[in-house]
Amino acid sequence: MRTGGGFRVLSLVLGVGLVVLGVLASFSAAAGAVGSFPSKPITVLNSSVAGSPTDVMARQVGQYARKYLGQPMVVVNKPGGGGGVMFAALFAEAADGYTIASLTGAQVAALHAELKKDFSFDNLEFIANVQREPNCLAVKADGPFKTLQDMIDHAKKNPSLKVGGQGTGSALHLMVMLLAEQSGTKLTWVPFGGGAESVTNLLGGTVPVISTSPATVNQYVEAKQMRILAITGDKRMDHLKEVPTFKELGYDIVMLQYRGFAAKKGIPQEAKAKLADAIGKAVAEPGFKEFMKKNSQPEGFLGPEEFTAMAREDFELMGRLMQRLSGNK
Amino acid sequence: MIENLAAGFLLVAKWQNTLAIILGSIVGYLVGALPGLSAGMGIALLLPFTFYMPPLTSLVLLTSLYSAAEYGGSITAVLINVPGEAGATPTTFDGYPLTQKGQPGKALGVSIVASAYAGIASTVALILVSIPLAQIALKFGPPEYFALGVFGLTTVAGLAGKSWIKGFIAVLFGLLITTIGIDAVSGTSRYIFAKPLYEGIPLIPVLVGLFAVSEVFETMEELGEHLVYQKFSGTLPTMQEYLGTHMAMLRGTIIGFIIGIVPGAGKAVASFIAYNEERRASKHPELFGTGVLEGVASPEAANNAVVGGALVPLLSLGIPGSAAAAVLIGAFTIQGLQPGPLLFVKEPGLVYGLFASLLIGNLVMLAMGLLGTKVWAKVLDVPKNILTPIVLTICLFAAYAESSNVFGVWLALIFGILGYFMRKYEFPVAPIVLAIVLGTMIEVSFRRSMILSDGNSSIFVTRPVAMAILLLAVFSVGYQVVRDLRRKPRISGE
Repeated sequence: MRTGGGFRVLSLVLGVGLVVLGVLASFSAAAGAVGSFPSKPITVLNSSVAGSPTDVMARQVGQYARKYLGQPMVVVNKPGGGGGVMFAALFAEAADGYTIASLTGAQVAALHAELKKDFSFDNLEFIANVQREPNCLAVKADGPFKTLQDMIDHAKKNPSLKVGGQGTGSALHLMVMLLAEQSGTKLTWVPFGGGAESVTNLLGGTVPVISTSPATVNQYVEAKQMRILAITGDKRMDHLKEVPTFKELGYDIVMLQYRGFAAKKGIPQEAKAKLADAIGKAVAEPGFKEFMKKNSQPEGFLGPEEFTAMAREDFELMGRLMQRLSGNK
Repeated sequence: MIENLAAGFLLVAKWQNTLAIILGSIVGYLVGALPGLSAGMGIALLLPFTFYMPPLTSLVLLTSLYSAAEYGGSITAVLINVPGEAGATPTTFDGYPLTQKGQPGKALGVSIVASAYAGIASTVALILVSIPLAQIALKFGPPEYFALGVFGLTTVAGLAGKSWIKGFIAVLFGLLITTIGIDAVSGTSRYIFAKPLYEGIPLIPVLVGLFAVSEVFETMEELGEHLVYQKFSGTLPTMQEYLGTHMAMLRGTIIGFIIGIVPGAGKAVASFIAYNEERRASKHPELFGTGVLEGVASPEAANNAVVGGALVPLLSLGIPGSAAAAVLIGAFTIQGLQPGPLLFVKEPGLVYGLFASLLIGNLVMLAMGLLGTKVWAKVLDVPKNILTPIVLTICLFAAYAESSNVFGVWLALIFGILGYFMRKYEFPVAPIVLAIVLGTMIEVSFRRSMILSDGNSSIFVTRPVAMAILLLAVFSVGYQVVRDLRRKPRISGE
């Protein structure tokens, strides 16, 4: 019978589908049951690709926090859109503490720019900060620029010097705009998808200068393929003693990039406290400290209150800078 | 180098590492064969288990998984016309027709041999020339990606089937889809009407919908009409048939290896280009799409050669050549290792151990594939009225698993319906996949190029690599047009 066969198949499909749905539903119901937090793995969203400094930081923290949480922290990479893709994924989930984000000051600053209409700083809940480090300008070691002054001199004679880096309206971008303003040069920003892409384009000669984090380029500096011209910290870094700060060179550019964990506003206080506590203990582990040292990362743990205050201060500074710079255009 | 490699083999011979190869290959087969689970996701899933393993064991496990997953995708492509991975899409063009002729064993045999051949050849290339070849990765700035994307799109001419117009409509539709989501250059949101669309339309639900769900709908229609029990044979190809595809494997390997080196281009681009080039190089291009073995060998070789290629910039520059290689970086860094310029100097044992494991891993994969062929082909003995709902369930689950979001399931169903009507009206569906794979790359790199050149489009012809690729694209289209024009009068004269 023609229709009979079709109906049989259809009902079979529906039957299997219902069973699957039932199993899924019971899973999520079990996971949502009240109990001590966390009762299932915690997803850590990350806006950069695997292997980037933030990604590695989150994975390392997750590795050491596991024994304090009793559950793994699973890093999921959501790159693209200057952090927008990650924010979208974060805000699409429930504020239950099971989905958090590892983020950087740069991504938070992007909430002033294009991401403003969709996401807001006030919808974020800051849990714990792990690292603080300056940004830097890097060039090829065998390139023409030996010092920041070389680069500025070149830019004065040749307007529209290209500077690459991650994102549009990011801290990395703002720092370059500040430099252009204060040195009276015209620098053209080339947005890339991430640190690794910036590195490829610098080494390949597509752009002569990149704005990035020392963590991204440390190994290339060590291998004598790159040189760091200046850093945005208020003092020199231990492993880069010979690299001056912008401040020393007479520019009013002080910015510190932070990397920490945040969630969607409204997560249960119990979950927040538990996460902050586990992260704090994880970063105090000898293994984690060794990882930080290996990667030449200064320590910078902050609990929820201090982190919130620091993030807000940084965010407001970025906001003022953006407004001023866009007013100058 | 020889003694380093010998030491590498000794390291791999340790039982933990050998076990890791076998385990990685098994998981890889599963991950590859399940549509929706990609090699990159497989690596990410296993990553947490590698925390406490020694570095080499961890990397051996993950790279074996990576290789096997690139092959596994072709099993479902051949048997049920559902590519397990985007990179296996071209394998459906000739692999599935062979199954329809009752000879799935031939297609599976050629695809596993081509995969292992490419895996081993690309590993040898990786060992011998990785440091000089890594420079290719650096030659690729935005203009070159734009050119590569355009070249990739020209392969649509080979996919369009009977009508060019219909092929182009499908490509343009695919390109339009890629404009949805947050724009990677300016951060502006475009065509986002529902929250999940922020990330754009994900590839897996589209792939699953267009290929599998629409196929399921068609089969359901047939089931109502009549049930045909077809005899399928798991017979492997003869030695002569293998040798006949040797040039196809070689060409596929070279194309896959080079595209693998280019960071971010990906295996789907490689296998589409390889299929198209094979068709062009063939003496009987008109038979492509009807079940020729070269049409299976070339894209399968290409998507496995990508593995070796992608490791070139990863190991020597610290830059991942593919999405799966990007996840591998995480595996390195978790072990406190940094892939990059210093890795060969600091950890030669690890690097050569990894090379040795790739060589052995490909042999393990080959053995499993050849032994398994008869088993996989058994799937086809399952009556269609039972197989079809199972396929549908797996597909919808894949669409869900991609982002753990029910939205993916709706997308798969919508694209399934779209695919059903496209098939009815003889629109090819593969160009949509091609366009989604390439669209964002073309757009973003075009805009970056314009920023780099201050809006001067001469940047595409003044950079030698970009110009060479664009010329290839022009040649590719021109050649097809000329050949089609020449062929037509002859055919009508027959």
